[in-house]
Amino acid sequence: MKQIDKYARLALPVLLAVAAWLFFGVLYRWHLLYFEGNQLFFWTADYARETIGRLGGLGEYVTRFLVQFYHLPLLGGAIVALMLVALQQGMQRVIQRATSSNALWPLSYVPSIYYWVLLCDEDFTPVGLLAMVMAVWVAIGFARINNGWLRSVATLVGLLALWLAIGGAAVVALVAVVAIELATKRDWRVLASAAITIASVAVIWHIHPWHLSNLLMVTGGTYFRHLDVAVDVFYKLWAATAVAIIVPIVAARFVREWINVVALVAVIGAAVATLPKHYDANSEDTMAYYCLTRNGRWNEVIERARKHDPQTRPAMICLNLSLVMTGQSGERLFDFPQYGPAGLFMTYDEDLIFCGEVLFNLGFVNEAQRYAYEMMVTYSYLQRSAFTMTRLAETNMIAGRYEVARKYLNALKNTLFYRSWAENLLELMDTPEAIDEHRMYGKLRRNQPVHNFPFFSAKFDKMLEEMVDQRPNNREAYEYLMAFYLLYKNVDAFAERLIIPAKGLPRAYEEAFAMVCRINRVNPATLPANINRATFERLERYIRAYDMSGNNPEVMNKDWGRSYWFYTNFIRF
Amino acid sequence: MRKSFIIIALTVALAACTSADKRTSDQLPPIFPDYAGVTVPVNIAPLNFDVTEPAQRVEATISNGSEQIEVKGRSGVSILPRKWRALLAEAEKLTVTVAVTADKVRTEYAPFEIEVSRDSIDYGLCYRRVDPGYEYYARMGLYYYDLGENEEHILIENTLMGSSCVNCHSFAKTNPSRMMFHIRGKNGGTLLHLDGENALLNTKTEATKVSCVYPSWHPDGRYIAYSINDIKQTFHNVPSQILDVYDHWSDVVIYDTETGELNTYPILSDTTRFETFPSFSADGRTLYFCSADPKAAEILPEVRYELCSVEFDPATGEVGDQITTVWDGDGASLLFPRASYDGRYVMVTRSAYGTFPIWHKDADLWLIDLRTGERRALDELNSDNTESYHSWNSTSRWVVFSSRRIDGLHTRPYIAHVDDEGRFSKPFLLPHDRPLEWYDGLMQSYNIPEFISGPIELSPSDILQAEAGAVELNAR
Repeated sequence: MKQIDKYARLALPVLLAVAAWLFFGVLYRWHLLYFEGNQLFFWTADYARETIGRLGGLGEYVTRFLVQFYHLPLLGGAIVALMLVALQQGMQRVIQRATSSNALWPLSYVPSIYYWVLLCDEDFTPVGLLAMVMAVWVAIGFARINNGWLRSVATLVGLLALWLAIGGAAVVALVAVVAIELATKRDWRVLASAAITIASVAVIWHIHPWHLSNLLMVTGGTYFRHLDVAVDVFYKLWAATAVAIIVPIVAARFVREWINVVALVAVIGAAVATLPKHYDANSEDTMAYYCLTRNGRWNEVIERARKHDPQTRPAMICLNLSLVMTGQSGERLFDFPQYGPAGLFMTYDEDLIFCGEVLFNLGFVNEAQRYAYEMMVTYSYLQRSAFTMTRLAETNMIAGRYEVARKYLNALKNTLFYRSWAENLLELMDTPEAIDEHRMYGKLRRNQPVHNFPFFSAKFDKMLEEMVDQRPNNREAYEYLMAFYLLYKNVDAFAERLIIPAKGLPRAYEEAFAMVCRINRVNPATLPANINRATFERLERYIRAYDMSGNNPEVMNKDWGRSYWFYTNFIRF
Repeated sequence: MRKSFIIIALTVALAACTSADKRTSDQLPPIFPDYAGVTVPVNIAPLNFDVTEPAQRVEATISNGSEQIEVKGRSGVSILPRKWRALLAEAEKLTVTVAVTADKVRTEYAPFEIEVSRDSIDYGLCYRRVDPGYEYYARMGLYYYDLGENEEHILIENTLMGSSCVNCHSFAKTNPSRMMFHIRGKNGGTLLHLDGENALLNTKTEATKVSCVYPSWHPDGRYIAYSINDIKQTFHNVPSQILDVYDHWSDVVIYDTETGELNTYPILSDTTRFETFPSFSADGRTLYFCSADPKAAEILPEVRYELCSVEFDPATGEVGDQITTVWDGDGASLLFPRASYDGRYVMVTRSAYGTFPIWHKDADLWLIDLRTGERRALDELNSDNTESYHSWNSTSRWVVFSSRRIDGLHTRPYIAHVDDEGRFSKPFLLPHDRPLEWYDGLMQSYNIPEFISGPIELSPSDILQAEAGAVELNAR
């Protein structure tokens, strides 16, 4: 037992580090990229002043500094893993110092595992984790001061400063300091300092406007992405941390190695049972779709969908956009399980993120700008984000609002990972003709609407019609509109807009066209030569199979699941 | 020997320090903000500036003719307030010479002058800082700025109020102890701060249907005229335009702070007209407002507001029965009428159409001389970009106005002097201690700059306490 206890104590931190690194760096890599894209760390004095100046601002500043490296997920995963291990090691040292033993040391893993679970939800920022790391290590630092007066002064000044620097997680340091003091030296000066610290916080709470917001008071407002977080989560976390410190102190004299081993098994068991439940595969998948789409990696989106059907509506939108952007929509739209026009667009109230990509790439540049701006002010509370600021620079540049674009780009020059991108765009803007000739920006500039029309996200198909009328050469808008018609099963509108190229129609279009011809009793022999007659023959075979199947989708799906005819007969929305 | 070595070393070091080539330029220095030729009040805070080009050293000499100060910096200059005040105290004019050292070349630029007006400016400005966004908003707040110290103070930030929107702050002739602003959202209302007493008013009544919007205080501080508007937004698709805000309908009402009643008037609630942007005259006996034909509102680019007025009796709170068209706008839309407190002028924003000129690049400031009836575009103030909201200081010798001239999106406050003849000086950007870093990095707009004659004695706690209990209003 003693050996197990000893070796587990040495090996488990390494296991925690490796497991957390693999979890976040590999299994949650798209989460990290998405998280990083929704923040920006500026290397400027003003940014530092503004961030650190807020309650909990130092913790937030350091965390944002670290989060910028999520841009490289393996490095980002290592950063998260190191923070989790640093918290555990700090907790273990607090317990050791308070008990002068290793009693119930497995409890030192409780806060780390708790935070690991929280970080599975992208709305929890790592600020609270870093704050806890700082809190436990500050407590250890104070405990190492032998001089009582010095320790009491450090407690008084340090804890207050810590609260201002990291927010509510400073309560963990307070608990640790008091627990260690009571368990070891029991110096009344230190305990008095702790009491004065609590009173000081209460006074500041009362006189400073911070107290008007419970959330700001508790978390500095930055442990969670939105303002509407239930602070109860953090109360529970800190209470669990306090329990993990106090129980070993109280129970130290009764604890034997076998109890440590039991505790170890219980903690590992709890972790193994809990973490997989909180691993959000759908969310990870959707973020992967977004990040790939955001970077125009269309073929990778399609390949991803080919391996696993998109499980969410946003992922489906990314796939359909990718098919359009690569010119494959007419051919392969029904190679994937479509479930209606909902897979093409969402209303403004439902989504700004994914539909912003659709708007941008189809030439609705002003609307894309609006979506990006709204996302910036709503999603990334109190800070700018890479996703939105780069997009705002692009939209303003495309629309010819160069000074605004320059403002965003100059700001982006103060970042580590977007500097060169910003410099490239600034250089491009020096010669506006170069924008016209740019492969993507030039095309988007030419694809913008010519005349104003009111935009309604709930009627995006109508917006596309307007766009195609104004910009007949906007191939992407045309294909998206045709996808709308097909998914709406509006074959009449489809046929009316259909342009038959010399090389013939792509498969999905041709299937729809054959259906229209059959409904309207058009003799295929009278059609132009570039219409594939085999499609008409396939349609006849489909009808016979349909009749024989007794309207059974499972039977039909095997041979005809990828046809437009199957979609029209069997997919309800 | 050792002494000689030190002398030689010092000589070499000195030579190295002064080895930059010297050039002179007949151009004005590349500084931000542009202070060349502006007129500033005698009590303004230091006009610190930065150079807009890479520099290793910036030197400036500022002279008032009898005294001068020299300031140096790396990329700009920061002037000591004590020395600045001493320099301004006796000055009629400042001459500023700037030299910039870059790539070991010291360029001395052509000097420029700053006129110093003996007309003091009020204590400060109150404004909202908000993202120039669309429907949603994040962090915003009301702030006031000490013009003599270059210091910003927080009046209230929405992060303390559950992300509410705060807007339309207004003062009774710049008096900070008689002020109001709206808090929108949950637990919202109109916060009224009257000589130390605070109340949150629910201005949405059965009769008015919606809450009060654009305010104007009566000069004696008793009444506040409001527009009530059913406001909508529309978004443009074409690159040259971004969005428009317009009204479905609007009326003008007047709140009496003594009786607590919200007075409605048939003549200002005409269903055949839109009435908005009320503004009392200096003597408080005329109420200006903007008015448009609702029929035209069906096609937004055809909506034109004209400037109208109606008599107002401060003793009874009643309005006259005759509406006068002061100016029909000559084919354009007139907005934000603001009467100067000396009774001489009304300043308006003029734009091609609509009611929300901040998104209209063509929007300019115009001045109507009430003595002569003459009206003119304020070319001294206008730029190629948007000029929009504006207000007068308590002596009517200074105006502050919103302009998007820097980048076309982020609104900044500019201040200009007006002399006895109604001539406006070249405006200057609201000074700041670190102007380039601040304005370049700031992604928010300055919204509704209003002069205030002193600090605002209203704490966030006071505001939140008032927010706890909204007072229902009765419409009469």
